[in-house]
Amino acid sequence: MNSFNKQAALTPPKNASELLDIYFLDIRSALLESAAALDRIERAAGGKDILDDPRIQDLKRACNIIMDGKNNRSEQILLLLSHPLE
Amino acid sequence: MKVIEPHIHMIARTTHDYERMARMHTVACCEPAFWAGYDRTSARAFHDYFTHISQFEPKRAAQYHIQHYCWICINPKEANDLSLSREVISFIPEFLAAPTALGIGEIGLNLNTKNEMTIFEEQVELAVKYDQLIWIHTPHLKDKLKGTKMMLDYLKGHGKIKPERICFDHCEEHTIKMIRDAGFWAAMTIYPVTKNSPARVVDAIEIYGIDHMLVDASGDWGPSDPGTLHDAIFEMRKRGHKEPVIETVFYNNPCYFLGQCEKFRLTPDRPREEAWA
Repeated sequence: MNSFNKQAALTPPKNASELLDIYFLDIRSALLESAAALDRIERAAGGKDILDDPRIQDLKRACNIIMDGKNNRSEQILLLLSHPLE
Repeated sequence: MKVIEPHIHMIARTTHDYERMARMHTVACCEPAFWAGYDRTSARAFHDYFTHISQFEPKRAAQYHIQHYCWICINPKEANDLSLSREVISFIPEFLAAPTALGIGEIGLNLNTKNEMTIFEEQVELAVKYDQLIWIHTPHLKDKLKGTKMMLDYLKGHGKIKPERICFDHCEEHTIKMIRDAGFWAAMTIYPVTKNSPARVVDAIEIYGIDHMLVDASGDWGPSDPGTLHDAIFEMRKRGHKEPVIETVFYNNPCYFLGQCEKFRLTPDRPREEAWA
């Protein structure tokens, strides 16, 4: 183990409201791109059947994490999309 | 503010990228040995590649006042061929003697196979034998969690490993904690689609702190850009972080890790006890 104590988290200088102002349009854009991509896939030939693809199911579970997760949503999604540890 | 790019494959970049990096105040870059986009057909091809990154790239970078360093190894994607890998390993010491070679890397796992793990272990032994720094490639996407754990468990049980001298690269939110808790360095790669965005890298720095953390752009021939490292710097400024903190992440921290090799010629602006306090 190294001789340095792990530094505490770096406190974001801006408050939550200021960060929402900065990132709202980015989040809106990412959600719209995701929704449009799923629409694109669904309206193509074979689109109804592809919704059962395990990758789509994983993405739906990831959406649930975004809605219900607390604090570490990105880590939870990465764990969902990882091969399990044996 | 000076910037060090800890991981970039300049062999795949144009001279114009060196020029852009220089204009963005990059003063040094490090090039780990990796896959060429195709499997090489002989050990001699690796010998030529190691010659390129240890002799030609430093000269090309120097035209733009950028120090170029390299890491030498057989990369994990080509490590499934044990015979070829061992032939390559036999001449790695010749290149470790180069004045710009910082250590063994980027070794690691790709699909977490038994042969990949065997060659990873043999190159760790080589690093121990020659007292070299180690730069580790962690696998992509679904394989990252398991592969990272496999290498971490091996190194933790090794007995002769100094975690301070090893950096795990391509870390993401689900692997950073386990790596830093064990005393190793964690590097995050900004790479569109498959790795981190500038915003997620800064999120991780806010969550875990700045000590033992590196950021790189890992530019190669895929969709990537040396400028994404500077996008992360801008992201920190956008959020209101102070300049000394930003400089520690993008300049001093690489100096603290890479400076453990006496061939690395840049020095930090502040001692790390002060920068990490």
